[in-house]
Amino acid sequence: MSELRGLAAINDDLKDMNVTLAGVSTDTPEAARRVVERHKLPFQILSDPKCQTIAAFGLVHKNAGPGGTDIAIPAQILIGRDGKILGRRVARLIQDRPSANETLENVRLFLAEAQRTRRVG
Amino acid sequence: MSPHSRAWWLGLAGLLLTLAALPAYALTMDQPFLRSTGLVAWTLVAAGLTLALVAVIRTRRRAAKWILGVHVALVIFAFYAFFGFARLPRPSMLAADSVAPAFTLPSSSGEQVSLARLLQDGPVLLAFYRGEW
Repeated sequence: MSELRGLAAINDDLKDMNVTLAGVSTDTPEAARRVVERHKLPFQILSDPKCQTIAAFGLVHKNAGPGGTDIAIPAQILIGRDGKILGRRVARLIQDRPSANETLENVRLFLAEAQRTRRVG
Repeated sequence: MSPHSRAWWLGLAGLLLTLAALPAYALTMDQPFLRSTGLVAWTLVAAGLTLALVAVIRTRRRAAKWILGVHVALVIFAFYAFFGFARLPRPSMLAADSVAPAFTLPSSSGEQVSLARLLQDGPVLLAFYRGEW
């Protein structure tokens, strides 16, 4: 959950870059609302209890959740305005989390990269 | 202090340091960097292991060797837990530059939110996480 608070801290920086932040997890909307309230998160958390969207992004960690349910592999994915995936950062170990600064750097990098390829292409 | 009691003392102090790594990790888990690397915990483990080793070299007592043995077994287990057991499956990646799958999901604020709607305001950063449990 620590990464959510880190993300809350850089929400304004992301907004300055026109980037909208949203969390995704298998929590119910009710549980997600509690998390948002408890940590005063300035962004929404989307609820995907059946792992459908998580699976569509290829990020299912099978049987790893409470009671052997499927949950998400911790990951951050930046999607461009045209709907294309601009970049991603996927955890390799359960404890692996990007710091808020790393996230910010990644987003800058992905956006710059997208702009460059667009100009060349 | 006799070599025997010194061996015990040093060895056990080392073991205590290593065991302290667990609560230390729990306490520093809020920091993504310390959580990812376990830096504080592994530093404690290194210090504890050094003490246990010093106990063996300085006293050459069997007790110190036993403690070192237990110590090494613990550290191997911790290594396995941190780097082996905690390994996540490789995601089945979408091809680079591919279009993100469309979705509509209920949100924490009680509305249905679609990716298309979010993209109207610019790029979107999705943070997938493991949930509240």
